[in-house]
Amino acid sequence: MKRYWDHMEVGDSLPKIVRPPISRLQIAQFAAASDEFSPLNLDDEHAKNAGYHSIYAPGLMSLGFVEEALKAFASNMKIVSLKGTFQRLIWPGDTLLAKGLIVRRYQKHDEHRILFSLWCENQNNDVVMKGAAIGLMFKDVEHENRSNLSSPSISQKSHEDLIHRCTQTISQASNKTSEKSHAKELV
Amino acid sequence: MTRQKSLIGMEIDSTLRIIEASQLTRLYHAFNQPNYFSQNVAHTTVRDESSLLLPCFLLGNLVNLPTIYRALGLNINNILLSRESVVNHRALRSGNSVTIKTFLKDAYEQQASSNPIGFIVLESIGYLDLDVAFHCERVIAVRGGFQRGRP
Repeated sequence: MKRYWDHMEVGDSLPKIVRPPISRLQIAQFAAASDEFSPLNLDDEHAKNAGYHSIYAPGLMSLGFVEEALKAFASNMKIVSLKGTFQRLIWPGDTLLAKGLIVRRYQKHDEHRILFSLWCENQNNDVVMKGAAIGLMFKDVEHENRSNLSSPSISQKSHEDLIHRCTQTISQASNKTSEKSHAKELV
Repeated sequence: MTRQKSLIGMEIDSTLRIIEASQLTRLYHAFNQPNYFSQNVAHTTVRDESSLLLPCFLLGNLVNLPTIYRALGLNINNILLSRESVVNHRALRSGNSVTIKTFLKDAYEQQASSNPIGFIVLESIGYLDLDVAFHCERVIAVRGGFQRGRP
């Protein structure tokens, strides 16, 4: 379903997405898809030896469910930021429910942004993951038609901000490496 | 000083990944929900491309996790994913080649009841065609804390 920034209001909820109980097969398929083959997610014996009562599902699955809820909410929205804190382990047989609501509607660098609060609960109403997302939306239908894109594009200014952040990380790392090799030379 | 703390601020890994359509199809099966993972939906909703999109939540997993765990001396049995944060500026599609550089941003320990827990903060930057495509920050909890010894 397509939605537009002009029609969004703080407090609007995402459609609740309930998944069937998580199966061991699903966990294995997810491991294959995400290229993360932790024995704790795949091998019962291994998980028991490590102190767990069985294998558990990767926490990222809950983040995937809330991303799915965001896409179900607005198919023409671009998700620019997604974060989650994993609070409880997810076990095979758990039923997850993805929930979320709009907490802020704002403009930044000519982008029409929506901030969502997101969380995922299990069948006991325990929160297994708490998170947030920022989505870019078209202001209205006209805006979408003018852009001729499936979702809004990132502004140059936002992209420059991200590049600046990444450049800082890289320059700190190269300074650190040269400090280390200099120290080695002195020894 | 632990091995992990001695590596703070440094680049831990650089890897080149090709996004495979089969990987995305497996993801669709794992979720048992076509939604935006399926080729059909990609055809109808993505006007400019007809290939499968990699969802945001999976971007952090493009890094070479086994190499990173080895470099940091982490035992996979003690690792739990604690927090994941992704900023995504360019859609990644099947067939794209992405270079991902991973840095150790921080490593610290906290006492939880009687046991220490170590926290590793990894920062990853993904490049597509020499431009930044995404930035990811991942916090990993290490049960039992870090092993002491010569870095």
